[in-house]
Amino acid sequence: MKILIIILLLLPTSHLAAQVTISGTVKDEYQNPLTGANIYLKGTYSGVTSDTSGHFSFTTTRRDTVVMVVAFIGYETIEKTIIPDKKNITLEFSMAEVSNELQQVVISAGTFEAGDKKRAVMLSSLDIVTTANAEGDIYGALNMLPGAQTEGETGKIIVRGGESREMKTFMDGMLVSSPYTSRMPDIPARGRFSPFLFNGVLFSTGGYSAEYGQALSSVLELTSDGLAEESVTSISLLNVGAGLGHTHRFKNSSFTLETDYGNLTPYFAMTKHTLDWEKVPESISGQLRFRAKAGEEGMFKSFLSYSGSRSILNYNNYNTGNTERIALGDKNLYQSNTYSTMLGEKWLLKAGAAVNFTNEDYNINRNDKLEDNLKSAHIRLALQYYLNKDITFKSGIEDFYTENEKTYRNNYMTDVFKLKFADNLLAGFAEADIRLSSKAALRTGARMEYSGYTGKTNIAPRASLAYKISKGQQVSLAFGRFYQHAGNEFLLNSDSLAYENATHFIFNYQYAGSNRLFRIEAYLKEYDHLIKYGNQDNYIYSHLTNDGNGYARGVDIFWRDKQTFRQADYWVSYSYLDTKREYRDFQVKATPVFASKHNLSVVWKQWISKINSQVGATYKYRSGRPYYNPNNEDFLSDKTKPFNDISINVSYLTQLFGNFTIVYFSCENIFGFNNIFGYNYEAEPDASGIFRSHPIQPFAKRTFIAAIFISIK
Amino acid sequence: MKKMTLTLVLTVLTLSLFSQDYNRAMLDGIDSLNHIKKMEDFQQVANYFERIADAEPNEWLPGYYAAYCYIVLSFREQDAAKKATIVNKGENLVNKILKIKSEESEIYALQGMLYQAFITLDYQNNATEYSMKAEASFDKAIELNPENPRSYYLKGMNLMYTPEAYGGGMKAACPLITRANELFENFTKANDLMPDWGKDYNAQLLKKCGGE
Repeated sequence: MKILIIILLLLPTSHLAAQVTISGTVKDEYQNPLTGANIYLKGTYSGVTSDTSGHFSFTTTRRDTVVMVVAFIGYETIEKTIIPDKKNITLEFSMAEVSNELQQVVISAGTFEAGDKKRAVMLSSLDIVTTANAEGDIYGALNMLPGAQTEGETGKIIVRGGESREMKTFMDGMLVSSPYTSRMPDIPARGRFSPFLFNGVLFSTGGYSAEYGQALSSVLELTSDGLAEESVTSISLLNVGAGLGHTHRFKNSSFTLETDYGNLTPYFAMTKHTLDWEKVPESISGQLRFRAKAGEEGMFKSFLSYSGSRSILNYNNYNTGNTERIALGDKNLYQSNTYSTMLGEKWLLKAGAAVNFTNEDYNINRNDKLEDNLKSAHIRLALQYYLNKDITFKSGIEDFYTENEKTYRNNYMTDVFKLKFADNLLAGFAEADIRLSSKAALRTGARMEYSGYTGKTNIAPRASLAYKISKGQQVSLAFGRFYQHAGNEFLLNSDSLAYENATHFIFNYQYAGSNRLFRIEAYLKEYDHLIKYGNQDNYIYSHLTNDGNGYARGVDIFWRDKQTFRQADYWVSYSYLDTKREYRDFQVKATPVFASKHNLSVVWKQWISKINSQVGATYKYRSGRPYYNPNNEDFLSDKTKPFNDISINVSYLTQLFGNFTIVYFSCENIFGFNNIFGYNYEAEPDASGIFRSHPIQPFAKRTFIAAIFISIK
Repeated sequence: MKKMTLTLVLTVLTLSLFSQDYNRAMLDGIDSLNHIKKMEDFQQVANYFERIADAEPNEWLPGYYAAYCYIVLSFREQDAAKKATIVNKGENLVNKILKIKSEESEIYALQGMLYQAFITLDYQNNATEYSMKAEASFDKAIELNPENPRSYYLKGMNLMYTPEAYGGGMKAACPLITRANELFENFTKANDLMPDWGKDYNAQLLKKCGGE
């Protein structure tokens, strides 16, 4: 009885306890009121939502110490301990935006990040596939981004006045040593791997993280797909080949087997071209992909790819004045395994191992035989430590093994020469990502490398700083030192060459609005220790030194808009490039043949729901490129006429026998602009003492791709 | 002894008071949810349920309703950046309640709806992947409780707005909408707090099916 009384006495008292009113306002860092924030006392149901002026007010009967919580999506939650000992409590809160959210300050100088599905504005890997003039090639699509140009005759990407070898490609952190297919003279190469393999693409045109080394100009980091969603069989039929693939999804793993056969006969039949094929390129390739969840947070990925191709071309070599019969054989095997997992809450471990074997075999006139064998391996272990929400440390060690052998033989003599080198490059890096405030972020680190072959060591410091001016607007600065081995052809000739190096300075302004992005980036890149040589005879170079140098500077502008036009997406990019270098056999500083001063790209994509199709068009303009003219004493002072290209594509989505089907068609250079990449000159002058020239041109004015992709579930 | 009894009684009483509070609070919240008039109110109701969720870490329903509010909110948000933040919030909540109750049909049905929100973020890039994910969630929801009308309703709606080329369209959608309608008619909640939404909209979809 007594007890009951006590209880009954107790209960009303708590209800009758004096009420305390808690009120105030919630604002963001820029003093704008925040509507919809959740303000409450932790562990209780009492609380309220802030109104349109950011104001809130609620009452509580609690008299003891309580934790007040202010929470709002996209902002850091605030917790504040209060003692409701007065009748009225007034509080002001200023909320900071959550790190890594769209509006947060992020290091952005030099990089184009794509594929994060939660971000609406950047580029995605599908954007790459649907870019009209890319012909489904990753490198073809990068060509439409600021700072990048494709060297038309090789199909390779050059970034901000750097040679194509100054860009390195990584897949899930592992080096892809032979990212392009082998190629015939004056015929463009393609990327070895299909863009369909990746869901993330990070394209950096400078100032990149200390995680990456051995690249003077650019890094392309591809993130491969995770676990396949479901089992599916895919069939593709193209005018360049056919493919068959099957994916099987198990509970915690998936397995994909794909095989492709390529034959360019129908492609060349559809195209008016200038090539004299004895054997049109024919290729076979296969891929195995295995993905498995490892524990709660871990992922294991294994990738095996094999490709082989053969072709024979009768090539007009103006240098020798003869038509040469070139037989090319290309074999590549790439295998990589990666594993990543969280270790507890704070540590992220990433480990990987990859090997690559490439064999290229050129047989000229059934007589001279040039063989190039590349073996490489990459082992990597990296750790990330999340100290707190503002500071992350990253460090790792890696080893790159490279073995290259070039052999030249002919029918009359055995081994005319054989050159070979093997290098073990050991590297370590450490980097910190620090959020200085909600408006400023700093990334700083360094990388160290030691080459067993040359015995040389380098230390490369890197730093970037980003500052947010207002919502959506930010400026960034980046500085970095980059080292790269001399090209394999030089390493084969000498084991004492120093690293070539480049120093980047970048300033970037970016505006990211809802579905719109504008950025402008100015850069200066200073090259030093570039390779110079006296003479070249096949693979033999004389008087090799590191005395070369050069610079590249310019401005890149990018505008993308997915908002203004209904179901349309377009971007425009413009690059200005001023570059000169003295390297290789140059006697004076000159602009190299691959660099054009003005580059403009426009990409348009339109979804038309009525006909279930996406249509796209691209326009590319490049000002003239310098070329070497033996008739002109002024070195590399002649320029080709500007390059123009308009390409279109259509993807039609439909069903074939109840299976999801895409019908695809594209045409490159639909208006047939007469483009010239440069000139080949005859080795001997004619009777009047003039070296006769022959333009290097695309092998066809227009090229067509037609394809059908079918998915069977 | 007396002291002990007192403590015990008090504890029991406080507990029951709390649980009564919880039921009351949830019913109030569900009532406000059913009477929402303006879009902004979804944020308020979401906040309300989040407060309860924060105080009751072992209950999945407060988080469920909060997530539901955010998902509905995301469909109506026009600003792409805000929309992305809202969808992320919804995803966090769904993941959280899946840790509290892993085998609940209603949660998987809601997860499927969340994946539809991902599609609206970026149709071109997300449509294929997230349609498949949504499909898998709805199937799991049906597997866990074949009587849950929301699984069929949401799955049907997903198919209705999927192009025929991708295996969608009316033909594929309407049998599911019809099945959902039957289940809605006979649906009785396991308790007052369990989800009970979608019937009206499903009826509208059913009309579209009839019109075909």
